[in-house]
Amino acid sequence: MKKTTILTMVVVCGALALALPDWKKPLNAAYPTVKFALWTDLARKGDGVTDSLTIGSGCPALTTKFGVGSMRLYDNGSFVLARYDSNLVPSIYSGSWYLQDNAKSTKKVNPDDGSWALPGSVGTIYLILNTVSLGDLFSELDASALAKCQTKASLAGMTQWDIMDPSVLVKKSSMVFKTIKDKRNPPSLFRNTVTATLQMSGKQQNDAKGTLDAVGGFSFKTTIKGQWIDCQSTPPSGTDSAVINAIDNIKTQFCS
Amino acid sequence: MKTIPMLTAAVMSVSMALATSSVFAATPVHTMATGAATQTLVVSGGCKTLKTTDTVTVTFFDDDTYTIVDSSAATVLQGTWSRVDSGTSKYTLYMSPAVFAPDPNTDRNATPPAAGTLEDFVSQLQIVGDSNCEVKFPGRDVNFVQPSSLVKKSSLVVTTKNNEGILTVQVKGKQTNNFYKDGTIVKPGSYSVTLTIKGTVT
Repeated sequence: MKKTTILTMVVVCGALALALPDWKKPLNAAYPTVKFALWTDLARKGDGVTDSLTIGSGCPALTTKFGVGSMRLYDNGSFVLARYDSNLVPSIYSGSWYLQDNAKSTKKVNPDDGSWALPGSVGTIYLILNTVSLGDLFSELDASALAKCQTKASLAGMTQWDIMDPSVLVKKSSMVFKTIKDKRNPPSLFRNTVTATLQMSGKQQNDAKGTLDAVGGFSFKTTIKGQWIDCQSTPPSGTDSAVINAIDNIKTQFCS
Repeated sequence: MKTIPMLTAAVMSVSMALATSSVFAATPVHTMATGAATQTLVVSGGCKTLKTTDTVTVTFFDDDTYTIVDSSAATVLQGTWSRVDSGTSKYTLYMSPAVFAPDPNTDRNATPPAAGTLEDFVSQLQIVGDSNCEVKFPGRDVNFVQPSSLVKKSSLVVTTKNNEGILTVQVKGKQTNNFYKDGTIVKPGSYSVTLTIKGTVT
């Protein structure tokens, strides 16, 4: 039953919302409003966060497929991204975003089939992390990479693996918003999907061979696949009440 | 060739540079005092390629920050740097421009990007690019999409034999314009800029 599916989705999303960070809004009129929200729904095939870190210096590569992430994009051009570890502890990053509309991607949603996806602006969103957030990300990668290196017997004594921040070049930092008919999660429902990619490479310093500050390379790619909603759009007239309720629940959880 | 400063909004950038005076409290480690700079700006959609030249000063400080200042004393770029030696014949100074992009707690209207941040650099390029594109498209506009701007290269390679250095900064990104249709700027395009600075590094 389509309605049952919608209610099931809401329950899953509710459980996920409890783990979202409490971003405290200051009491000032200049604080922006959420325009788009995105999240990963672990009940849906394909959703999740995947990290691939090529460490270099003889260390094995690190791939993490734990999949929880969420994001709020504000109407003043700022965003906040939360990535969660296996203990659901979030790492918070921020920066700027811009939506470049895709003329081919606007779909009309049929409210009669239980679709909850909202029509609206879709396309490619460009993202740029600020310097502080990039530094935080690099620090986390430093720790993860060193720990991975130390799992190799010959490198168990390593004490240094540090990204040389100024050497890092971001190759890709964007996400694609779409509204699709999802055949992998029957019954077929239109849903708003998002794929976000951050890809970078640069230099790192290490003591893999016993001498400090040897220079090597690294590359990192993270992909977030999930759902999104336009927090400032409303369902078209004639939309089923169960669909409206589902949308309202999503907005309550992710758009505040 | 007419020489013009890198920045057309020099007054605004200089006043902002004063707010970052703490950078100049650090001690210079490397300096290119009179770098011959060439900036090439390409805006897709039919604009003529714009090439400008200037004499700039590039300074690398012991607090791991750097500045590129043009002949009008405006900060073109600022950020952090680190050095990698390639044997004894040359070394490379990797340079990463500061990115402002504040979180939602910052009132963006009250706190604009400081001079020399990537946002400021792209904003200045947009002013110059828009003016250049108006030669072919009078009354039309182009907007450079800040978050799409990626630094493709940003480093200074110095040959130790003669201390000659070549600094290259390359940034590419998206832009939107209304060159061929009046009204809201919607047509997507791209832009790229290459800044090359040559000189002696002390």
